[in-house]
Amino acid sequence: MKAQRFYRFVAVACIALLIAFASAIPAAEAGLKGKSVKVGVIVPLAGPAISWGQHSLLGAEIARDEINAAGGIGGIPLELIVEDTASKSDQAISLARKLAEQDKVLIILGPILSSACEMVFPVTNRMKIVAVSPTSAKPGVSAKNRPWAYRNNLTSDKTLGPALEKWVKDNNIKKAGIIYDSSDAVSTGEGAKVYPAFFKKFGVEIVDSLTVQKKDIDFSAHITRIKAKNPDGVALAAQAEQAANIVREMRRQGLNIPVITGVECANPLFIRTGKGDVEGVWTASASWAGNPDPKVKKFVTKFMKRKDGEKPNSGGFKSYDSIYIIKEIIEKYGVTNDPKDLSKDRDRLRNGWKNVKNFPGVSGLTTINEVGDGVSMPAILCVKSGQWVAAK
Amino acid sequence: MFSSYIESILIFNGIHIIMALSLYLPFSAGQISLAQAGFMAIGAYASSVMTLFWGFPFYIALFLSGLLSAMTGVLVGFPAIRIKGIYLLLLTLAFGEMVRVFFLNFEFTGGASGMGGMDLQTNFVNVYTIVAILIIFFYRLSKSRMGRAFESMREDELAAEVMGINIVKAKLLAFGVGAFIAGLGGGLYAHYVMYIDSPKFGFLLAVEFFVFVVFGGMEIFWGPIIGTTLLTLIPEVVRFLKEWRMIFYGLVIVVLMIVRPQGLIDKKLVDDITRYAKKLF
Repeated sequence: MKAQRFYRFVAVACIALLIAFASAIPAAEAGLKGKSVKVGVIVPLAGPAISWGQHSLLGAEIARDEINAAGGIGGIPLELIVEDTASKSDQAISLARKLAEQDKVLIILGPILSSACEMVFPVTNRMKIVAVSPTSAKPGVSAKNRPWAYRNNLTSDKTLGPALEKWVKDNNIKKAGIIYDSSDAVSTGEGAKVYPAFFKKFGVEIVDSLTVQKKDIDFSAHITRIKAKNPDGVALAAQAEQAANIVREMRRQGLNIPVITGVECANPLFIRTGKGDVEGVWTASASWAGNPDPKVKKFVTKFMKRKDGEKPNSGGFKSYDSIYIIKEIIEKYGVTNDPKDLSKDRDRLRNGWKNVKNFPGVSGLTTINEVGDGVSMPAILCVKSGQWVAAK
Repeated sequence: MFSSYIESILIFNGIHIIMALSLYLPFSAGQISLAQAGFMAIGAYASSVMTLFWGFPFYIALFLSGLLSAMTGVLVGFPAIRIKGIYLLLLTLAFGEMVRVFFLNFEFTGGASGMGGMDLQTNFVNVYTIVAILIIFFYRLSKSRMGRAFESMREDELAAEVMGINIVKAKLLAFGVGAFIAGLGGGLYAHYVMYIDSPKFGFLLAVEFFVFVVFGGMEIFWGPIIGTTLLTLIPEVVRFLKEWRMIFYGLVIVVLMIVRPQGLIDKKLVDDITRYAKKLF
């Protein structure tokens, strides 16, 4: 009797599997329904976060143009529906609802700021639509909002870990000082949590931990105090301009010890502000615009042509890759783009994002980890003759 | 009832109306305040601490955080008894910034990394119920002794005092009740967006509320309500203008200030409308 039931179960399971396959394969081959594949984009195009917004949007647009020039996805073009938050995080809540309900997009790329992610992810979770942030780096934000929240970006601890390890070893750091901007969310995360944790792990003694505030311009007292403690190196966490000015003050006071900065500094602004004084400073970044890999070079050239010679920041890289990941998922997981299947398609995209593994993009090989954050090999960079280059 | 997109815009609009009314109350007594964003922050953080850490029911937390905010409002009101005009503006601005920097560095409520994880408690019904209660309150106030006292203070403080109005009591009341309303607004906001961080409650937000009130008109409470609604909806309606929409928004304000410097709605307009409506029925 038991065996009979078992066989019946096996038979039913086989038939179910067959039907599943039979329905999945033609859908993928027959092309997609509808006029276009709609992807919503939520970015700030005004206000303080404008450069992250513009770079992320342009990265996505370059990917869209490439895809559409090559025939689109499943025979129909990819369409980006862009909404601007003007750097007001709470606006993203209404915009996510608009994209999901009025525009009926399959998936949302964004938001950009971690504070906006904190507000939007609970909303998208309830509406059962995937939101992928290409930039948010605050640890723990996607973990709180399973299973619909994804961030195709390294959280700051994952970016900085390998760089810190190499920095400590190469420069033989035994005692380190920390200076961070306690009025900035990202910098505070790095200065108060990431640095102390890794220094403890690598056996580095923290001789002092000082805080600065945004808009501070005089750092002489901080540096004098750090100097008195005689550290082997200093770890900084602040926005690019401020961090560069802190380094300049160190050099002015003759404190010529190794410096490593947080992920906020991996851009040309840091070098422009710091001039010759930031020579030899280390940082880590989820992407590296100076990468000699031809695929990266091609993307960077295209980006610079459309952005008056400006190099993309990691937002540009990650949103370019995200659009290609979305394309791959749509093709692989049998998304139909039929308006009747909208909720099923959204679920297919969620399943697809969960299983992204070693996706080869311009920011390296991307894998989504169990809490929904993208993991790729971060670049370890240092300033050499006025350029960010790979640290050796 | 509506799509949830429209609903969320209306909820933000309701919260903005509550905030504009909280500013209007001291305004109606001639006290200009840029501290409302600070009071809102106190309400938002206090209510979140109560629901999140201490497990208070939402409405009790909302009420208590309003009271806490009102107490701070009275404290700010004390120096305001002697300070007037532009100096008062500066004082309230400084207070608002103090609150912002306090929460930026206060580790108990998350410091710079903000505070999240509140439950979604705010909805269309409770926001607009509070708006309705406030409308009734302001209507009753405008007909009451204290309301008329506020009005005479706004026109001429010295004359009001000579007429026997207790200026100290009236000013503290205006600040305290205004802060109470702002505290409610903050609590509703926090339990709608479910994540708060202190940069949100900066000086710009205070100016935004200020613009709502000046745009709508400060003679009568319908002014801030209509002004807020228009200024919240305009940027949404003209979203198709993309990058240009904030310029359009600015243009609307500039044109209105030239055409109607007293604001969109004034007493005369309301009187005219009531008279016309009475004639109709």
